[in-house]
Amino acid sequence: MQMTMSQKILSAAGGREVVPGDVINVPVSGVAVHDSAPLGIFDKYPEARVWDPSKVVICYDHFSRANMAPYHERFRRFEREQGIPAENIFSPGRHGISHQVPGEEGFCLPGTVYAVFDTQGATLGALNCFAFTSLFTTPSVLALGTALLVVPEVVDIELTGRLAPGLTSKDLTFHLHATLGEQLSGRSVEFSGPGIATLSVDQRLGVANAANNLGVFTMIFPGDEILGEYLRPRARQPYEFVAPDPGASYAAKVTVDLGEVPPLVSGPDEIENIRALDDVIGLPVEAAFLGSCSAGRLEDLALAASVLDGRTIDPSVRFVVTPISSEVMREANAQGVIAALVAAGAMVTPPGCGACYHGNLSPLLLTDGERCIATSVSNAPGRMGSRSAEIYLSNPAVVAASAIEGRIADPRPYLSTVKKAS
Amino acid sequence: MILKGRAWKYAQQVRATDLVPARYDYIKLTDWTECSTHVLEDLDPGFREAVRPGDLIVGGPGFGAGHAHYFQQAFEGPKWLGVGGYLAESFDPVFLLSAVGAGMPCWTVPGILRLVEKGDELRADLATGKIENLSAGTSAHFRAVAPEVIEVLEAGGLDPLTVRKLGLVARA
Repeated sequence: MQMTMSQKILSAAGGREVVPGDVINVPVSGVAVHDSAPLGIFDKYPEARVWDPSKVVICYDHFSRANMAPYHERFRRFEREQGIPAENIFSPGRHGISHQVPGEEGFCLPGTVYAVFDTQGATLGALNCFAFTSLFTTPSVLALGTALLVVPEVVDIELTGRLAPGLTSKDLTFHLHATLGEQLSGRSVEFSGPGIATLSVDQRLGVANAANNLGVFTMIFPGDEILGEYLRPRARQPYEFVAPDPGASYAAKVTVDLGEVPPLVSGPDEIENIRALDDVIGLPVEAAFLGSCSAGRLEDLALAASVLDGRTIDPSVRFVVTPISSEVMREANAQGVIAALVAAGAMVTPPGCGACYHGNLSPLLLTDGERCIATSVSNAPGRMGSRSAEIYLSNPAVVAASAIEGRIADPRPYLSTVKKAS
Repeated sequence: MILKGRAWKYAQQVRATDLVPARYDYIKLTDWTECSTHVLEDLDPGFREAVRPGDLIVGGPGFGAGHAHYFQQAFEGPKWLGVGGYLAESFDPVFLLSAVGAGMPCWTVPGILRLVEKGDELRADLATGKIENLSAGTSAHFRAVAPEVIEVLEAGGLDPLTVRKLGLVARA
């Protein structure tokens, strides 16, 4: 049988050839959970055991502020009782978002089936694996080492061309949502084509992060030299890339020219509310947020820093930056990116989810009537604080330019005066 | 497994936040009895008073879509209200697996919007993939639900099934 990447990975892990629509109880190669995940049966049954403690990664990301220790007690006990190895536990200092760290740390590898509790678990599909959100089924996956999945139909998206300077995975995913949303909903996406080589691993992770917003089960990128380079110092096991068979059967095949992706924003209130950046330029903002699992990576921070480049943030704007992980924080610090952000007037917080969700004890709670421009994942009313605040989502360059001007701004004039961002 | 009940048909995409509005996630409502009083509150305000145990919610494509933050309320609230299951043209894949994992029967029945009108009495046999509209005297077939899924639903969800498989005993 000629198979897609999804079919190949699930067939190999499950030990039988599968086609879309099949139900499979598939062994997983790893599970990543974060500090607000439910532990279900592990809370209720003292003899419940994780199937393989060495395959579990625990990330403190939602409650990563120094005073959050009481929130961590439940997980500390779980770690002790289950014998989770210390190197698998990403506590403050080593911590980061649960669907970033398993890639950075080489736990999640090409060709594998990887479960993540968090909503945005499909992000790791950028690493040529079948990564999925296990949500409330996570305790059973932890206990059994298997996940119940329905093999998805796959849409092949061939990428050609190259994104215009200053545009990122945010613009691309909004473009996919606006142009292909209905076709993708309920399915999975596999990428192909020469455009992939123009996207860094940071950008690919940002693209696959949009799966939940698109109603897509997962998104898989093929392996290539760029991914191999990323994994070389990280991978904890040998791995092999998975490629689709030439005759694999897809629910649909479409081509997207990256060069035709325009600058886009989403908001307010609904992710589907996707508009041209030009339509919202000039709207005053009181808050700006750069971070989250959608766009808190090194390239995102560096792009914002290149827009700021010696400029200062408008005094009417609270601009908060939260790196996605400790590794990104360290690297951004070493490259002078953090210094540039702080010099411009941004507040840089410890790594983690940051202001994306108000329940994280956000450093940027929005109050009534405020407007925020953010790189994060959701603009639903109340997501970042007050239900009467408006959230617009955009790429990091737009967030930085808007923080400078105190209103939603076009970053292109700033970009043209500085070196190319990436 | 047989699902039998009246159809509450919504031809559009029924999103997770249509089943229970997002404002109850923001107040972190996890009292499912209370949550059950807000089912379909915005989409169909009359639903809660008129629904009967076993009734089925029938929806269009992409049922359950939305940020997964809202998923748990979207199947726990209706479950505690006695809703018998969700049948839709298609589902958000993560929502489908989460709902099944929580013991809420739901499955894809392509063409169901053509087969069913609001208030029709339905009978769906998940194991054979046959759905009957008892009010209209019509029927249709869909892909039979795998035994692995029926096993989870009959156990009341993945957690109870896992506890049984592993022979776990609750903390005193």
